Amino acid sequence: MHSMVRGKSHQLAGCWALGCCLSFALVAAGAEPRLRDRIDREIARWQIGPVEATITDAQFLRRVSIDLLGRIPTPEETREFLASTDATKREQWVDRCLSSPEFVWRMTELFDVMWMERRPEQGIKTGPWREFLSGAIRGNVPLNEIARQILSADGADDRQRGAARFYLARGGESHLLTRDIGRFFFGRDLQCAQCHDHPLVGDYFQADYYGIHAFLVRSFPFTDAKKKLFFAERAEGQASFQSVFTGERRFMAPRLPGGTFVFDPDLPTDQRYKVAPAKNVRPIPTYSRRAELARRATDGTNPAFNRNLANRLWWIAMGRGLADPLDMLSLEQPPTHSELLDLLADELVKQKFNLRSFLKEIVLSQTYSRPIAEPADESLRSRWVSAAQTGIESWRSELAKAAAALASLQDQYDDVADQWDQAAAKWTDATDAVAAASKALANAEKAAAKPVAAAEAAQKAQTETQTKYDRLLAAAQAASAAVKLEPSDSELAQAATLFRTRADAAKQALAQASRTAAKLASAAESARRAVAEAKGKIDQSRKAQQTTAAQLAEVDRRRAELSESLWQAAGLVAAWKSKVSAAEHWIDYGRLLSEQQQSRQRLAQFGQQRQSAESARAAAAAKQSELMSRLDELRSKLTATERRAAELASQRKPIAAKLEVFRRAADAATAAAKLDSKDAQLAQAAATIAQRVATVQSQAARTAAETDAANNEVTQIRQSLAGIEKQLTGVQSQLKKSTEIIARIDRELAQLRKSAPALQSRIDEAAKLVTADLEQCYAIARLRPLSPEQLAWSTMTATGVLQRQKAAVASKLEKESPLPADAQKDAAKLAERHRAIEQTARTQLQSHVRAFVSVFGAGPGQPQEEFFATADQALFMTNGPLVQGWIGAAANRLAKEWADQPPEFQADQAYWLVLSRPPNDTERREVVQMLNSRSKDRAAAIADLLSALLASAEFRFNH
Amino acid sequence: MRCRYACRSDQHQIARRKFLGDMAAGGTAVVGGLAWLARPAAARQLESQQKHVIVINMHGGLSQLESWDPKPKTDTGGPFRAIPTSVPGVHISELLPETAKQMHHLTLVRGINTKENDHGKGAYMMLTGRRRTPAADYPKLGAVVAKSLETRDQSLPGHIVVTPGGSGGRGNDAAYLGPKYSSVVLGNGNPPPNTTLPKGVSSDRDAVRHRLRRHANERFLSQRRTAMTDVYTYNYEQALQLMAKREVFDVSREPAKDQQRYGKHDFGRHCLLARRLVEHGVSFVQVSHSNYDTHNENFTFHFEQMGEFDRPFAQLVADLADRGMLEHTLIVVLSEFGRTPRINNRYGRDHWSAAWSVCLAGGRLQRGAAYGKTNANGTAVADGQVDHAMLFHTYLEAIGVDATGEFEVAGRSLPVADPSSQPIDEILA
Repeated sequence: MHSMVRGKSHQLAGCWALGCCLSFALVAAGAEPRLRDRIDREIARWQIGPVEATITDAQFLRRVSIDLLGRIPTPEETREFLASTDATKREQWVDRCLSSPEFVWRMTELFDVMWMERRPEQGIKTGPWREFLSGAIRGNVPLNEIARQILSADGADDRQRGAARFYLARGGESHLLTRDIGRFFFGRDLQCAQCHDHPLVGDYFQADYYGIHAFLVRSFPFTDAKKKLFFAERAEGQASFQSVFTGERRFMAPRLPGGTFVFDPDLPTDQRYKVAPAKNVRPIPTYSRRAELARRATDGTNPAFNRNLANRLWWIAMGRGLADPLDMLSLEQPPTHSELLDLLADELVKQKFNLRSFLKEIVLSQTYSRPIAEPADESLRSRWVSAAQTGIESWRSELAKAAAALASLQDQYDDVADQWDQAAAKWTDATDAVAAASKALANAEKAAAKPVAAAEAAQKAQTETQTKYDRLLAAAQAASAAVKLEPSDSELAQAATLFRTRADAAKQALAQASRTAAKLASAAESARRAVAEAKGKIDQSRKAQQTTAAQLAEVDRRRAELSESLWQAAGLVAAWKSKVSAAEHWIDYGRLLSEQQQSRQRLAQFGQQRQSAESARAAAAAKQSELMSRLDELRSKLTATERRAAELASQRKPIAAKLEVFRRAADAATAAAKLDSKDAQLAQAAATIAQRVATVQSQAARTAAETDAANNEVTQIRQSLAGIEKQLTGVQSQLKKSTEIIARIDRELAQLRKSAPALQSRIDEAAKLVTADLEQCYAIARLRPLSPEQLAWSTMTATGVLQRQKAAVASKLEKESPLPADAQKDAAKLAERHRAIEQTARTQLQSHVRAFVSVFGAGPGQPQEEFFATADQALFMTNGPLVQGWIGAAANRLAKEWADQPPEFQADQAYWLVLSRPPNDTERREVVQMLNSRSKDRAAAIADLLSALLASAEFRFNH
Repeated sequence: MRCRYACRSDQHQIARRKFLGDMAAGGTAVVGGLAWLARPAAARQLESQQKHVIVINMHGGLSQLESWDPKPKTDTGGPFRAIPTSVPGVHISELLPETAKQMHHLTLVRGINTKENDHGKGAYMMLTGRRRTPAADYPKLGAVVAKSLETRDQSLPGHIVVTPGGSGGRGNDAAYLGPKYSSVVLGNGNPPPNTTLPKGVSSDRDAVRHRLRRHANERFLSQRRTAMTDVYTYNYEQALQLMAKREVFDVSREPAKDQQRYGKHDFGRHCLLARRLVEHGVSFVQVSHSNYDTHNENFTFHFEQMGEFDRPFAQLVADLADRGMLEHTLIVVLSEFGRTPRINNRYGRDHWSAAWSVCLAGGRLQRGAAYGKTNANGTAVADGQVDHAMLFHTYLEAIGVDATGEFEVAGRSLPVADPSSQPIDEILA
């Protein structure tokens, strides 16, 4: 199933990963791909989209130096590295690190902390323990061999006495050791399974806990007459446990997590010890359970051991395990990349547990060189979103398939676990029966002792009586013979009679003794039979025990196999699950982004709409004001015209009256003139009057016409007015409509603007999730805090303390024991000198490291991988005399050294020293400004700069 | 997977599924120090009224007979009388006349049986609420309180231990809760180390250092911010606040009259410091009074030591009550065990854990109560027997911390207090 799914996934992964194609090419060409490429290929399989970015040379140098040397690079190393144009310079630098004595120091520190968790000096001191570790690491002793030496250590071999610290600093306490062996060598914290099967972790069983415990239960700390402490072992002792939940009791034979039972060899009682226990004598059993633990765990056949070690080596380079936390490897918390972990575990075995070559492959993988953040290029994200959208359905169905496979395996496993439990119960009963039979035999033997002794005593008494009788009878017969020869000798006769009497008495006693002996002999016989029967029973029960043990071993073997399949299946489910969940995150993120895009577009749209509504409104407003002014104009014209019409109208009446008067005057004059037709004067006068009438008449007519014209004009104006008023109504409603549209758009805009921050924060949340996913799938690297030791050595490197110490040691050595000229050319001797300098300088500075550890390290016996930050750490850096002393001294020295240099140079150098990079322009400007303002106390200014940079997150973390 | 023990309950199944689910989701682990950033609303209620705990550790084993549970005129009683207190019917040793006047604020627990006569183990049990086991280490009360009562903008440490002598630093008493909750040790009541600027560094220069640091962080963290970097940058600001509040640790800033009232000796000064620290918002303060391990001359010794203890302790109780702080401050006077009723031939009393007492005050505790009884001459508990685990539950309940809750630490759920025990409900109001 494992390989089946692997094959399928290649098609999926193939489209994405360049590394993958590259590896395929290598496979096609028939070459075994390098582990680093296989790592990249496995990692790429589970990524959703493409990953290309790698860190710069300067970043790589800092990252890998902290990981392998335990310190930041010096400015000289950085400059040299950056100046090199060699294409393989990264690999060369890694090789240089791995062969450096600083690597030995760093790994010694690391494995010390990992295995001892800063436990106090107890039993065996830290010194010999670290010598043991550093000797082994220097000599490139395989890691499984180092583990074997630790797990089998008894403190007797003086050359490896330090190895016994693992056991003896824990007081040899078997439960503490069970827990820590589980954690450090098998990656499983079984503590919760001490009293019952783990309630939360389905594959952590009480039997797993006591399986380890059974290897240790015979071991104990032993102090000999010379007060030397050992971890000794007896040949007796059984582990058993009882669940606080079920109350069931089980005997437990030694058993490795994920392994099978290791039953003791059946040794006769008198052959169980090489050195038998006695007062002040350290016993040495013929068969050591602990040695067996050490051998079986480390011989490369135990998958849990191999995986744990591979996982921890991955953690060294990556700052997290493929399974994390490191001591909770379980079905329910499977690794993020379980097939990669299995690959690493297999490779570790193939590479013979070689620390250096293994680490080298990891740090030279592309995966190791990912930056801590994605490149600023936004298109990467959109590619991941669309990849997620395209892929998710098929990944979901892969997940469903994997989950179904897991479920069916789980059912099988549950059945086997039930069978296992029954078999264990039977074996426990059989073991109990052996114990009962042994007890019965002892009882029978005890019960038989008395009658057997009595029968033997009776037999002896009978024999004695027989002898006595025989002698007496012989004497009596001899005496009788004598009496026959001398019948008169009465004394003789008397004596003979006495013998006869005694012989008769003895005969009676003999009969009695024979009866008694016979009786007791039969009693003894039945007691003997009882013993023989008990012996038979014990043989029988031993056989039954062996049979049940064989059955248990068989079920256990199947269980171990199934457990392996289950592990792989669970790993696959977890991998698909996180891929699907990451894809969901990406899709969510993409949706939110497009929502934001849409909302931005709508914003733009509304803006446009608003603008056109705005201009429509402006036009309407202009029109309105134009109409209004025309309206005003017309209205005043109307008023004038009306007034004129009224005036004209008012003129018509007097004119008509005048006309009437004139007409009457004319009529009268005409009539008067008719009477005297010859009166020309009169006629003339009448004509004059009539003429006047005509004048008035035409005046009246004119006025009438004018009035009509004025009235017409009024009507016209009124019509125009009505038209304009109508237009105005139209324009006003237009105006109102535009205003409404604008208000609506403003409301919408306000809504959009209001929802923008909420959307942004949802996007930020989603971005956090996808960033976490990117980290989870190794597309970006984790920001890792430096360990207390890394921080101490890096601070000492940045302030020059370490380099100066080494220089001082070197010159002292050169003075005390100069290397002869021929040795100067001898690589081995030079390396040895180099090592001695490193060792001495680091040892001299060790107390400073302890000061860092006391502030930055977790408590003894507590997990040391958890990051924490407390105020006292900040105070230690910014105010503490140790670090501030280093900074002050460095600043004084540098101020002198740089006295003739411009502030730009000083700023650059300070950045190179602490952050292994030059400042960017903004940074340089800021620092230069600060330095310029403090030309009088330049040393103090430099100290402040170093202080600030050493307190920065960029220094505190590996990135 | 199937639940493999008798109950086979659904709850276990669900819990395990959830566990698996959560783990598979992954990637969003909360770093220990940032718990408050993701704190559920329920816990926030605590913050509305900050609670405090003051533990007075009577090193060496205080005699219950010369303090909280006198047995005058019996074969075991010794020379001292019992005196009435401000609570009718409750008597304590005549060595504590000032304390007797405060009895109406106090709560006595007189039926303790811890079955442990070893100093180290007894002290461990009383301060962790658990028996020491080889493969597991438990956090001390101070760490549990500091974590449970942690507030968002806390600038002072939450867990302070004042020692009679020695230098300051960080204690190793938080076990799996992590060093963030370890005690800040104030050697002889002095402020924490490194809280003053280094010699020659003016506050102006310090401002420059921090400005440059902040700018450097802003630039670096614009690439990537994580929970860890947040904690890290925050912790420098916290350190600055601590420096600014340095005088909180300076007991000489208390009024001269108060210094007089508490006494100039170490214990008096430390009690006053405890009051001062609690008033400034510190969650947990432990002071100690040494050394009660009186295998010889038990009576002269208790006469002197109780004499020194009585007044400052009574002042502390009275002051906190006067200032309205006792309602949310728990005071615990404990020891690793008591002392034997039998008086040995050196007029001493030896280690004794079968029937002894502690004195409590404040929080949700019933005032003026005396819970539990020993028999006539104090050789056994007659009524109301309790042990270290019950006391531990009671301490937490008294300040409103759910002792049946769990801490989530690095993907593991760890019970706050021994899940097989429970508080002494009878003395909780």
